[in-house]
Amino acid sequence: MTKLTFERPIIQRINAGLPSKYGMAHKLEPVSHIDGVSIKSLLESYGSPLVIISESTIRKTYKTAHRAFSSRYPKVQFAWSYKTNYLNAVCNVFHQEGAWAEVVSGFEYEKAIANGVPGDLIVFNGPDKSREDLSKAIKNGSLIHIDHFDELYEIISLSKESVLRPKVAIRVNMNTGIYPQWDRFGFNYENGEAWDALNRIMASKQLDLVGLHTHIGTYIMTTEAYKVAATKLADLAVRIEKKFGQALQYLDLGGGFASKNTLRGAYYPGTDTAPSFDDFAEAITSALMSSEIKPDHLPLLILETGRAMIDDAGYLAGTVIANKRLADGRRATIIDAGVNLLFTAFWYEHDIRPVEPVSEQSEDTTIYGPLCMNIDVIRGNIMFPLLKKGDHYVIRRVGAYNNTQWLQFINMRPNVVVLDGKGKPHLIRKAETLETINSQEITPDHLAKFDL
Amino acid sequence: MKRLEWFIEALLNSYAQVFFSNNKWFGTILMAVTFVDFYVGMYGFFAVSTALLTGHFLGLYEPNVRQGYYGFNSLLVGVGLSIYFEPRPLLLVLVVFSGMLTVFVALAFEGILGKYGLPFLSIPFILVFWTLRLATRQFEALGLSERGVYFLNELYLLGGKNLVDMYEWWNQIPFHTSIKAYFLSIGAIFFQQNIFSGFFAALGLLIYSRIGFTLSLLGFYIAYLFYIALGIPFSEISYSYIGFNYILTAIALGGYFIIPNRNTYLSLLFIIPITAIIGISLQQVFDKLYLPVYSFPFNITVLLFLYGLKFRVDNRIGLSTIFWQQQSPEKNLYNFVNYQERFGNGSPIPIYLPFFGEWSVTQGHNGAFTHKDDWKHAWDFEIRDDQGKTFRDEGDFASDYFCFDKNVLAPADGVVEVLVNDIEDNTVGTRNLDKNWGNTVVIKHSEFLYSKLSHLKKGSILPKIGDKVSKGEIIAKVGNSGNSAFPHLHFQLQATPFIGSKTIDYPISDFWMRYAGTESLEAVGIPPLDAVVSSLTTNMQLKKAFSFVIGNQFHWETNKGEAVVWEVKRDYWLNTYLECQATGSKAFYKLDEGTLHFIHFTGDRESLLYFFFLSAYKVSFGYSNRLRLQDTFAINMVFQPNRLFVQDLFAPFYRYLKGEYTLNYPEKARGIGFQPIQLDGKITKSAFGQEMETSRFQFLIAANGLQSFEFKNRHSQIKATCTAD
Repeated sequence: MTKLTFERPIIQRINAGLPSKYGMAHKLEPVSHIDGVSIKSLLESYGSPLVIISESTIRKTYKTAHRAFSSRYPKVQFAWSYKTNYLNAVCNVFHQEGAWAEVVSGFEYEKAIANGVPGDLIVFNGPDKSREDLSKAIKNGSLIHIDHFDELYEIISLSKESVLRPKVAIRVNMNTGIYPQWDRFGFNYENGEAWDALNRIMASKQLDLVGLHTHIGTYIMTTEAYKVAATKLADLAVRIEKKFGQALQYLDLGGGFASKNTLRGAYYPGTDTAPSFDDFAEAITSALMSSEIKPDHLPLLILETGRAMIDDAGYLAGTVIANKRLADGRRATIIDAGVNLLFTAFWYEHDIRPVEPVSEQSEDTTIYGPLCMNIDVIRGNIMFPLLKKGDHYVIRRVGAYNNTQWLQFINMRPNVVVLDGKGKPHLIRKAETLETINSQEITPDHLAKFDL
Repeated sequence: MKRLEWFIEALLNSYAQVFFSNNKWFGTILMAVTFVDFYVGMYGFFAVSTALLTGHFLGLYEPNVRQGYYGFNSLLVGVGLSIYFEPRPLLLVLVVFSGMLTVFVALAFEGILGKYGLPFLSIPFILVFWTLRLATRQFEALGLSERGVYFLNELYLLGGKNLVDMYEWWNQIPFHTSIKAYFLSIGAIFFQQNIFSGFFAALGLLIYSRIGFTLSLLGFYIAYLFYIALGIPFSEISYSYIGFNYILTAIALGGYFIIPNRNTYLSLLFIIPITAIIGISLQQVFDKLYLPVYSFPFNITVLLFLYGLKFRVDNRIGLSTIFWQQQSPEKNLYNFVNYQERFGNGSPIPIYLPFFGEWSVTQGHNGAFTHKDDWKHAWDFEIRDDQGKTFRDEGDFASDYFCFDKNVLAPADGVVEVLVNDIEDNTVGTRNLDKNWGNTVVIKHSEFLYSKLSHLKKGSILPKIGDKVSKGEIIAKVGNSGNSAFPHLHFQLQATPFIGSKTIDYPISDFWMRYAGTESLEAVGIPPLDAVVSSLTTNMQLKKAFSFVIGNQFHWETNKGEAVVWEVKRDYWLNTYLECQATGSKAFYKLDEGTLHFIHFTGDRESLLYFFFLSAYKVSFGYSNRLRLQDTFAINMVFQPNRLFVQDLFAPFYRYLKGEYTLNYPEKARGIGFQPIQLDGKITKSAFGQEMETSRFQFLIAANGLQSFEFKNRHSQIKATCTAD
């Protein structure tokens, strides 16, 4: 008989009989393995905390998404949203699956090029594109999605310097019935600015208008909004074809599909409320197919969904640092990953699980990160098992945005491993060291020395 | 001279057509053979000319006149008459009248037999000649010819002593009796019963067709042995009166009207003796009327067999009747074999996959579950994930199935005939055996071609009965109604418009298939169980470049400075082709939604159009990166006749020459915009698997169509730029 694990003693009211309005007593099932690999062994080899990415989950999710759209619409193309996770290994999994790249800055653009993405398969979004970025994008034949008139004028002026015709689209924002309406990006549909911009592009005769782009928001829980967006984009496309006789080659519906993470304050868990890829696909494709676009001119449908593609594949594992009792009597558990690594903790109720087996007992707990900052809260209150110092935890669905938004704050960022299809771990980003940080710093001579 | 061109072509063809040929050299030889007896030659010539002019002034369809269809019967009549009667002016009058008569008899039989898809062969000749033989017994002014008796005198007059000597020399050669009889028989077709003529006719036959020549020997010897076996009295001369029937029958049924192969050769073992029996029997009857049977046994046997073959329900015996007569057993064979390789049994109306994306065949033809008996030619399609599962989670609900609620597309243009749209979808695991087919739509694509899509979602069918639907239009959603325990799409083709009609074996066109570890683009095919199939999405740039529009012109300028103009045309039978204005060469093609196939080429093989024909042999408008298309040529389309000579002899049994086509799509043809697409490819000629010659080509396709075309082989290199289209 193996030795039972020790759990600290707690006092809890016995809850026998009928379930309360919150349902039956809930136990957080431990997650000990990812793709058949023991989390504990990974932590031993790569240190704690550790970001673990499952390659097979990425591929599976991609295929599910692709199937959802391609079984409904004849021409579908995904573009990997770099800002969601631009670890090169992750990007390359998507590129291997056939995704193009979607970037929103000169830096991301360079990263995509360095990854080997052909220039003409890069979608260049975002409000901040420098003249240099634009001229590079024009040279590479990338798809430039214009955000504002100043950018349009910049491109027109650049096009006069070169024989190359920039391939452009405009980003359109619109009322799709959701709040908040993202009207800060692109040209508005309802007030006619988008139509105006399109006319200026066509009038310039220097640019190739190849598509239209919209991105209605993020973590959108309703598919209806996409239906409205697709209908409005299709309407613009039809108007352009009517007026200028030019069929647009693609419509880019952006991304923003909700992942299965639960938003803070949401009543139901995200796993129950987030629409599936099929739901999004049905809304978008049915709107396009029933639009007035001629069937033999159906444009390519580009999708830039990031969050829903990668969230499930990322895990953050680590170790409990300490337990303590708060002033109001609640328990607090301090773990070695905080909002520095888990930026998304600001808006998600992250699904945090024990790694080792635990008993039925759990206690109302606040989970804090290791930072010496009051805001470093991973979960405000959660019925959490009774982990002790040295026990391990894993946080699920952290693939999106964390590896791009994480902070080198107080602590340095840890190792990132990817588990390949066979479950073999590969280190894809080394933990930062003092040298990593210091290598960027230059100390003037007069500040080099001090005497205490 | 230009105005007489048709006449010369028709004249030579009329001679060659006696052996089913339109080879002008063969025609010339045969014409020369008739002139071995000068008067016979002359009257034959008059008869043909009469027939051709009659046809011309009547306004018959010119290509048929040019092919000599209306000439060869008159020729035989003319030749025959001049053998029997003294060559007097009076005979000329008779020849003219009978030549005309023959044309009308030929037209009558073309009408009568044509309805059954049968040729009129030499029936007009026989009927007219019998008529004349009977009538002329009353014409006292016509003297019976005695020239046969004084044949050498005639020859002397014609060619002096040398010719007579040569003639004698020929007859002195100690051929085996049977060989003599063979030559005499062949000569007898033109009433020239001498070895000299027979030899040259046989030589001509060999030049025209190796298969025809071997068949003539085979037919002759089967009959010869049959005669010996049955102890039928045999003499070279008397035999030759009827012997040519076997030769003609063997050529007709062994390789001309039926694609030559081992089976046609074997079938002659039965057909020739039957012909012999018919011939000997008819002879007994016609002897009473003092009429020879001529080629009547041949006509009877050939028509009898060709007609009988039409009643077959399948081709288990391996005798494929020709559907496109090219006047040569070799050409028929090569094109038939090639056509079979490329298009299977052919599908005149292409039927496409009725969905978007990649689907798996979960029950194919002759399936394990329900695709049996009358309904065996059907498919069930579902969507599978990488693990081969067709559903997510536990699959307890219809909506868990990947295929559920997916769009169903019209597989081709058509009209909705029958529609059921109100049957409840089953819960997963249960079946509705009362309404077996569930919600179903039947679309009529043409007479006797209907497609049926079943087990659709309740209320999802969009069109109404009588609505026109076009290919690729969304017409319904996949459901789970009828005899369907879990969502799937049932797809079948049928010849009648009813729900529950039996299925027909009809292929699907232009689909991309992953099956047993290989990926291929199928022009037409029956996707088997577990194949993963999808339609390729069309690249508008490629489609624009290769979708020829009737009436359009292509203007090219070659690197040698030549300007070449092609026109897109359509002929009387709706065949579409490109025609080169300068050379008159034609490249025939077949174009559908997704693919351009070149089928055939006639004309100048040094022309740019020929190289284009070879290079654009198969172009798919939809593609994935690095797609490689492969195809095979009919070997007579790529090899010169001298290379083919030996191959022809064995072609019905074994073909060692090969012409293969490969087209490579770009490594990374993708992206948005109008960057030029470059297609490269090669044409490989090989013998016994050894590569003999490889030609390479390249297309450059810009946004507005073809930009340039380059073709390179051992002998030449040509680069052409499209100046306008």
